Amino acid sequence: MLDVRQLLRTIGAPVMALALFVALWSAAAARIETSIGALPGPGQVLLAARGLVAEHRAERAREGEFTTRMEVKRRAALAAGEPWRDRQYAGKPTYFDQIATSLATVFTGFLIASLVAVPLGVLCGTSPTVYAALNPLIQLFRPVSPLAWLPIVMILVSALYTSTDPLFEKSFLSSAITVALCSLWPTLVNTALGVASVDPDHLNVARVLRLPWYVRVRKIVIPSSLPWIFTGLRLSLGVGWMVLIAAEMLAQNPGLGKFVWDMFQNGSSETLAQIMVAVFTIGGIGYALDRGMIALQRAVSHDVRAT
Amino acid sequence: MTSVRPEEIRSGARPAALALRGVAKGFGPRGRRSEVLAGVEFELAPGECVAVLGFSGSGKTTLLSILAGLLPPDAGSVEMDGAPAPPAGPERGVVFQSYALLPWLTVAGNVQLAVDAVHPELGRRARRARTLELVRVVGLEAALEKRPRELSGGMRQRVAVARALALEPRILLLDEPLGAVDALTRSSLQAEFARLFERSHKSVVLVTNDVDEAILLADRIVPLTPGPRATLGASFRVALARPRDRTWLNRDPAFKKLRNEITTHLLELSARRPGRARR
Amino acid sequence: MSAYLELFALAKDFDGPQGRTRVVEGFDIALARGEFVCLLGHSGCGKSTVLSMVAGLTGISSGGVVLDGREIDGPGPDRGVVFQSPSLLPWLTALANVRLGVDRVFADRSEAERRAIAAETLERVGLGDALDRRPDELSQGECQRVGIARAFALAPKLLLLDEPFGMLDSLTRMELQEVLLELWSHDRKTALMVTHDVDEALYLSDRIALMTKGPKARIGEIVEVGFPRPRERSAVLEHPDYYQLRERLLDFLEEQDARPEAELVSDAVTGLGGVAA
Repeated sequence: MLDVRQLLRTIGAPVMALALFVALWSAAAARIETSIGALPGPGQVLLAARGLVAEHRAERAREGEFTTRMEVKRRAALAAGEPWRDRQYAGKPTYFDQIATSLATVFTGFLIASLVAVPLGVLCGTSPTVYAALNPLIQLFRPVSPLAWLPIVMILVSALYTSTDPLFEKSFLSSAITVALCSLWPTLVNTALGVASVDPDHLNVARVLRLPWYVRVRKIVIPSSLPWIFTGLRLSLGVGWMVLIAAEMLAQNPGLGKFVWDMFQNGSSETLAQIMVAVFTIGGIGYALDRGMIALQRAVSHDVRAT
Repeated sequence: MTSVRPEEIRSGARPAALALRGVAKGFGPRGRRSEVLAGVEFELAPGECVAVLGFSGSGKTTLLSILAGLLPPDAGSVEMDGAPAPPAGPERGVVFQSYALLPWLTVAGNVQLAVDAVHPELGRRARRARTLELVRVVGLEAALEKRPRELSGGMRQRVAVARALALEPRILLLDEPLGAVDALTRSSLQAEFARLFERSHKSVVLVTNDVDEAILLADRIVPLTPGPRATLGASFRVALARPRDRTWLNRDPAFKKLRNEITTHLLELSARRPGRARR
Repeated sequence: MSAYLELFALAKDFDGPQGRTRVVEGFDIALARGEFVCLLGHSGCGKSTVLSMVAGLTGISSGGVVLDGREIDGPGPDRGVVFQSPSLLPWLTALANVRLGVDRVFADRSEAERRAIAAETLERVGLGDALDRRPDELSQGECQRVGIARAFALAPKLLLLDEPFGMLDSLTRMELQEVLLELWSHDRKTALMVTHDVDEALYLSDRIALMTKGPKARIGEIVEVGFPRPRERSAVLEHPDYYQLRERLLDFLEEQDARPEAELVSDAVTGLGGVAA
């Protein structure tokens, strides 16, 4: 009896809410007329999604054909003793390529942010002097919007990253660095808080053992603040993902943001449906990233009460 | 037990293992400062077990932290063997009230941390063997790879003791070692502690609020007057034969007399506490 | 002596993942008006469950509780309960915390009268100068004094005390025992208290009901405590019977602890000497 009620609540309620949402959306879509045609309903969005998948498959098939064709030509050239230069397939990136680029960008930015924020946070948490020195800067830069960082980053990247054979695209680098700049703060602040709130008794243990500082940091400070650090990382990744879409739009870096922007510029009813597909994709990936981080966070957290 | 009588110390025959001279300590900013301890004189003879008995919030933990060298006194000095005490270190092993076990390490890991710190010169295998030996001493070999959250209060307490023993301290400082343990486990652990102290001939300072625990374990009981400005009062000598058995003590007239004396004394102290409008 | 509070054949089942467990079974005891009785047993033996059933906070599986001729049905202000943790509302002062119940129970009195009741009770627990302090400005012991005052201020028919000093250190506990005893002697409310502290039970009660270990916990033995009242701590400690009684209680507890669980059922049937009144 109780189980049925619970089941209804945990599964039934969300399903009902979803159905209600879809119904409202369909009803609204039928009534709203935009400058580029009717607002797409759920059915059209689903169709658009299928279209994007089909496009991806077709593109991959073309690429496969191209490679086999090239391979045939290369062998023929080699056999004839003619010179041969490899050629890259120059098809346009599909929707799934855009997703992959976005993910690569966000993780690069997130990695840079973590590599800076965690050590800096540990430093802030262990030394009140460092904290006092950095706190005003943190408070000043933390609320800055990614849209404000981006132009500066783009100009700096152009000025400083002048390799002739670049490992990364400039636009990729600009987006990643902007993501890093914005997602730095939650990890930094949380790490500092976590380190500062290490149980004083645990630090006393370290003092009685006369542990050198690096052992103290490695064996006591880091493990103890790990749950805090991971909370910060989770928030950072969330912020990074939000910032990324905006950054990609402006930096014209390939990725979901650029996809949305391009579709917007295209301006047809079908592209509006595709933008909606992108919205759902962005939301879904954001959700998956968050769940992943929660799982990680659980794995490293220890029962703080049980000391 | 090879306990030194206070007279010997006073006559200068042997210096106290640990002593406080006119120690005072307060917390908080000027103006709203609360003086926790004032004018504390204390001497621990080598091999002696002293119980400091006081109400919660009367400064017991502060006193112990000063004895351990974890907290500097505002006034007065801490002496070890007649010389100014060095900073906190393994020669003064502390068992914290909260046990302060590292929750992300296993039982073995927690003890190993101390063994590694004290014996960097030993090889890995020798240090591991030492760890196992200590875990066995406190009877936790079955829980070797368990983490603190999987242990009962009593078991955590044993891990904390094993870790303190790993330091091979000359002086053992215990902060309400059995405060967080339920009543029954407490009595069996008390008996174990009593045996452990008798065997190891360590000098022990034990801070507690439990009269029975103090009588069971200590050679001498020093009441801490209720704070603020708490200080140590005249001490009660516990002249009961060892090993002390709980049931057997219950019939000992000397035990009853001492227990009643200390209890009444403490309640008198509390009644005189400032700021308490009784009746 | 007619019973003022009577617990008859009280039993409690709990549904757990491994099916139904009978925590308490066949629990019988009767208290005369003005009597102070302690339930003594190990933690987890079900003594708090008994108290909670009397308070009406936990449902009764079978049996019943009669207070002053009426069977109890749910919680009510005629029974004042003091819990292990006083659970004061942190944003209210000590006085306001006590007033909360007073205002409901004495709704017909004037504002000034209600304030006087709350203030006077707090004064009697030694907090006369701390009426306006909030819980975070009070020590743990002082918070529990407020908890006691909160229960007494309602002038209940019955006092139920669930390990009220369990979280305090043993010295503060002794202090509060004195406070409780003095407050209680004032109008001798019938009181049922749960504790695992042997000395506490001896100092406070007229009778001590010793509980066997759960599951199926019941009263194993009832010990009469004949120390004259009003009681003075040092006089009680020096009473010739004190340590004898203490040993008897400790022995019982130790026996319970050594007993494997299978044996408990048969034990509960034969009883351990004493007969439930």
